[in-house]
Amino acid sequence: MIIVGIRRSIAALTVPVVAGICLLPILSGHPWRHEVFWALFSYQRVTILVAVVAAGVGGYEGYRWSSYRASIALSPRRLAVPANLIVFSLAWHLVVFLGFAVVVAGIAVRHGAPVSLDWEALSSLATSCAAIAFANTTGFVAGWRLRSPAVAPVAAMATYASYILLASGGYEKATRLGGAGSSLLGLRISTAVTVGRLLVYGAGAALLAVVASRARAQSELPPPRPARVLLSAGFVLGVLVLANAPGQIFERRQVQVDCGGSHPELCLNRGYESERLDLAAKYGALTATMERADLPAPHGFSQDPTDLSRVTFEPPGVQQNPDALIANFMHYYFDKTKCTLKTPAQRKAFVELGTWLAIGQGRRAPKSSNVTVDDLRSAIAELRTCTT
Amino acid sequence: VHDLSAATRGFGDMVRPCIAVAKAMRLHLVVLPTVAAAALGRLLPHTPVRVVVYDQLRAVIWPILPMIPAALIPNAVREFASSRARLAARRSGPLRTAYIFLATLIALTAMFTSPRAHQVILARNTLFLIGLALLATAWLPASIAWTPTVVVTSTIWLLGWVDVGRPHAWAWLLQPANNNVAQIITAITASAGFGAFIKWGPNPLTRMPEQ
Repeated sequence: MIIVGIRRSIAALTVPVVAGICLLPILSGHPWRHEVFWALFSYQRVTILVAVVAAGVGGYEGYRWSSYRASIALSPRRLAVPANLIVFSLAWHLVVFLGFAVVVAGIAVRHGAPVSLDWEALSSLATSCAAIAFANTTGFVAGWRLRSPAVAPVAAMATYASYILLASGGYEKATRLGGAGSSLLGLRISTAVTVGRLLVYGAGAALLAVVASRARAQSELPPPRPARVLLSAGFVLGVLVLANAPGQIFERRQVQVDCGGSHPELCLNRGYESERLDLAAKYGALTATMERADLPAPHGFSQDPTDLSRVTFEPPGVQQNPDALIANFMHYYFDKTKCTLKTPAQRKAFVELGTWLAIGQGRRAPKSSNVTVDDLRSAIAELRTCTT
Repeated sequence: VHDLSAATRGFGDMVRPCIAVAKAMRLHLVVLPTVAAAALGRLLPHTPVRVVVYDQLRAVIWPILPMIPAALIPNAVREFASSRARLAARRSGPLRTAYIFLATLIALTAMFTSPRAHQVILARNTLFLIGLALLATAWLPASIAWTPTVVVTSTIWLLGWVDVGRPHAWAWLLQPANNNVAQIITAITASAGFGAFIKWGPNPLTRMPEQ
């Protein structure tokens, strides 16, 4: 019965649409291929688009089934029926969404990203599913109550509009369900935010389904009051948890790295092992430039931002942009968390050293600077004293 | 003859019809959530709404506003063409009114609030989306005829920006007024949409018999 219901749902017709949406982040390059969490989180950017389709499909399904409300009211299991109907249209969206999530995770794993049972990835996927379910249920209930096919486009656009308004109004803790432009190594979504989102979207969806169940013909059964009270409490609790969660969505924690090589030593997360040669060559060239002039050079680089003894870096950025690589290399000569290069002398020292390194890498013409090694020594000394 | 002056009636006689009207209009469905939201607003820590952000949003959201009337076209067309609408004394009053109101609102906003370049972009996007909506009405079943307009527009707007005000080359709805590719896409879609709709009319496929 459930299979038949799922097969007949109009959500089956929108599978190509949802699949097309889910394919977009996979087609637009794979900078996230070294981390499972980053891969899934940037894929999850499509959550809102899937939710828009789910809301519209839910709206049409609600309208479609509302004409059979009288027969549904006669069913011995009438309380559960609207909930089942919602599952019919929801199942397709979740299957397609999760199916492409598996593909994305597979791409990351094939590129050597370590697979531990990533709780952060799984819980953020669960939040996305809850949000899609919430949109679908909202649409369904609207169609079921209003009995109009126009509910479908209106529900879809209302979902999109409310997302845009909330996201741009500073309610990111509720709406930022995915999308990351840089590495998420050492970051995870804070537990309060995850719990709040799951409660708001999950309990919200269930509450709407229960409320829809009430919209039926006269019944001998009492309305499911305890369920409504419990779910309302869950929803309100979720809103409170989200509102009082710490400001940042992400929490920082240590990054697992394996160190290897010398001149320079490179400490990489296991997922980036395939980039070791490339990074060693790039940092090695800079180190060699410094050592040829008998200037101090960093002995090691690490991906772990808590490592104070080595220069820390984020791989995709420093690999793609040579200037970012040089800027990162120069963090060895001053503390980037304290020094903001306020005085003209500090800025001059920074530019002198940076230009000289760029000339050494063939990034600038040799004539663009005429600093001597002694100038560079004093520039490094100037940068070392920079603490504000 | 009834004496309808308030002086001769009790307070209850005045209140009871009001309650009956409120009940019939299901005002409690509006009032209770409002009270609940107000109470929740008291409980929550003060969250200032950043109005500036909404102003920034208004500055970038306008190219996709024609989505709102365009997404309703498949339903509206079907509604006007249905036997129920043909037999009705007043033809789909509220729906048509709402639809005309929305379209007028967007047209007026476009005319009075935006410079000429914006008006060209809005006209181009409106034409494209109407064409797409008519194409969908002619080819797709009623249940999913709204998907192309909504999905294409929302996807392009969500993923189509490199930076604020700088669209990706493929995001044709966000391109400036003098972009040829966007104009060609619009011309093709619009002519295909109008042509298909005139030739075939609304797609008869629907999973729902007319009510």
